[in-house]
Amino acid sequence: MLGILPAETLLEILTFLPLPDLNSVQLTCKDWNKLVHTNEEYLFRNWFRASRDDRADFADLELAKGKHALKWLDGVSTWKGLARRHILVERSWTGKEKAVIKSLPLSSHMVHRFKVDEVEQTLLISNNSGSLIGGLKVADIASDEIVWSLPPRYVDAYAHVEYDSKSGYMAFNRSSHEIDIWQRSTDPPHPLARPSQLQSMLHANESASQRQQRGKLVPVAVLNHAGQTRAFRLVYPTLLVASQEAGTAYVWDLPTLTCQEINVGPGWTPWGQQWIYYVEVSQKHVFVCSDNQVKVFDRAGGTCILEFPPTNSILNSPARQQMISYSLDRNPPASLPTPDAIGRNIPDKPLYAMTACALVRPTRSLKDAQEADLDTEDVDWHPDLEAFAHAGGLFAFSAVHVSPNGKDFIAVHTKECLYYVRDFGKGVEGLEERTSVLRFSSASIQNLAFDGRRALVTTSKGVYILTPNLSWKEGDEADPFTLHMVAPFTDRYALTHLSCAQLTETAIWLTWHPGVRRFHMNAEGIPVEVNGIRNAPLIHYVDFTYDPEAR
Amino acid sequence: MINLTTSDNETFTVDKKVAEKSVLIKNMLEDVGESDQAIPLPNVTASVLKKVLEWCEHHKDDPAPPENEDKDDTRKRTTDISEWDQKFIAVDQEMLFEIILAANYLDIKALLDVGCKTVANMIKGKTPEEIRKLFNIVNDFTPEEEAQIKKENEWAEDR
Repeated sequence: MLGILPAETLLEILTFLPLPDLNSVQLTCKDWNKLVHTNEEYLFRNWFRASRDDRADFADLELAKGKHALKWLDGVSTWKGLARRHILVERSWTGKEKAVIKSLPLSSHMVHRFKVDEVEQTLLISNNSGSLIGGLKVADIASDEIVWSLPPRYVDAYAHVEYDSKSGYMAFNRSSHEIDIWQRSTDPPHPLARPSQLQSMLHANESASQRQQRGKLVPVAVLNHAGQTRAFRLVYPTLLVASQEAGTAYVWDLPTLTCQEINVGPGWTPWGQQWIYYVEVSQKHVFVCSDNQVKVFDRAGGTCILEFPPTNSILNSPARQQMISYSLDRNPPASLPTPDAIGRNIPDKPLYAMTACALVRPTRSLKDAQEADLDTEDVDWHPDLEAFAHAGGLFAFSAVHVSPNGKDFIAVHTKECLYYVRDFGKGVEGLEERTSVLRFSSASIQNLAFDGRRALVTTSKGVYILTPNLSWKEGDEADPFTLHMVAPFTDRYALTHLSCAQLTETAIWLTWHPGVRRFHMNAEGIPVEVNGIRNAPLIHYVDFTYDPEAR
Repeated sequence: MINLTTSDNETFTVDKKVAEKSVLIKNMLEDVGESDQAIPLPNVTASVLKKVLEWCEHHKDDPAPPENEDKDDTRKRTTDISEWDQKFIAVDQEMLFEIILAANYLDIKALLDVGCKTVANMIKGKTPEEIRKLFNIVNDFTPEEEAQIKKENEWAEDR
């Protein structure tokens, strides 16, 4: 074939091959090896582009490297090198390579909520009440130093923080009706910025100090709302603020600082107040989590296009839903290595590999479950009491996240179920076929993050990485998702108090109460482990960028 | 109607629309204008041209590929081939290469793609030894050289 077809055509053929097959071609003979070798950059650039579903820029290697919270692509100077690093990271996410656990013991002390800035490689952190006072700070990930902060008197304890890493806009709640907006100082200033007097004073004080610009924020505005705000979410250019009291979602357009109101009420139902636990926003939709439903509103018309699960759906019948649910074989899996107590000082070496969780398939097909003859709707449900109590005895949809393309969403219910809903925009028709349910048996689901490629789920029993099978359809042989457990994070106390979890391309980020292992001698003189002393929560992260050859 | 003459001096008469699937012929017609003179295709034999024209006839109503398409961008590297094309391209290896060469010479991008994808699919999942057998390749590596390449590419091996 080498003698017959021109090199250009041969290369064209090679660009259609996955990497292992390209290796096999290289191994056939010297001429093929030479062809691949001399055209490596062309071939790997093609491979890299084909392996990405986003619209990253591939014209230039530096642009294709993108912005990341961790400095994992420093020193990569070839397309082959870039492909290699990406493959190693993918392998680490699925437990085929090890990962490193790290923490920010100094700067993240007393963390409540936080966000990751991929551009500046910083974390934006609000404090819990352990600090007694509150405050907000920006920490450098690499050096564990605080590079910027707002004083505790200005930001209450337990403030919720939202941040959009691409645009550099931050929002946090200061008083019950107000949301503070700030932006990254290294970006072009907002042309319509109208900082409050207090914001300006704080900024003036801060500017007086001679610190570097990286990590600093400048004030934009304080946004007021008619009702008490309850949940908010920033996905640039939109800031969504929900007021339960007013039954209203305020949809702010940040570039113009104008607001559209959507009625998401009623704030009150015949059974009492309808709570709003979480909100999410995409280009076209607004999502509101309430006690027993996730409501999806069309932003343009302001109408509710979907109530999930629909009242007459199989997904609303606990007994029937259980028949069509995937569940964990064991929770946690039996093969789990015994974790060490995660202390404050974590060795900077790869220790852990993600543990694959076996999933148990549904006991019935969707059709059989729909037709099943049920004597009773009772379901064997053992609430995880500790987690249940910590969540305020809450049975509700606690979070929802939409995929970046705006088509699919994942919703979690505190009562053990995760719902992966494809093409929700198509409405109720065929919704059950497009929904996959995963039950974390007897566990309470606490946090959810989702970037379209994978989701991070924390429950009262563990920390999991869920990878959806994006081409899955009802009736497929394969499972709709795979699940891996982040083995070391199994401490019940820390899991129950985990207040924030974030997901980036190369890491997961958690708040964690590191424990100290303590033993005492029992009557027979045998050491018995007792509850360790709890330290204040810190941000821990699992770094999947470990390169076995780099050191 | 357009007349095309092959290297072995056979003349084919085809619809202009069918012939213009080939960018080479399209450009020639634009340059010289329409005439009764047959267009010589010295790089293509009759048996191959017959096959190629069969493909052009079937695809004559396909939308034209966007102009100035940067061939590197936006195109996904899937090796999916339509059912009709799969049947069409189910030929012996010699003919497959001839079709690829003709598609390359006549500048028929979509047909070239079908050919390249077909060869890629033949390679996929095979061991180096199986690929050698498939294309009559002689292994001229020393065991050391082979081991060296394997080592360098280890990271890309398992999926």
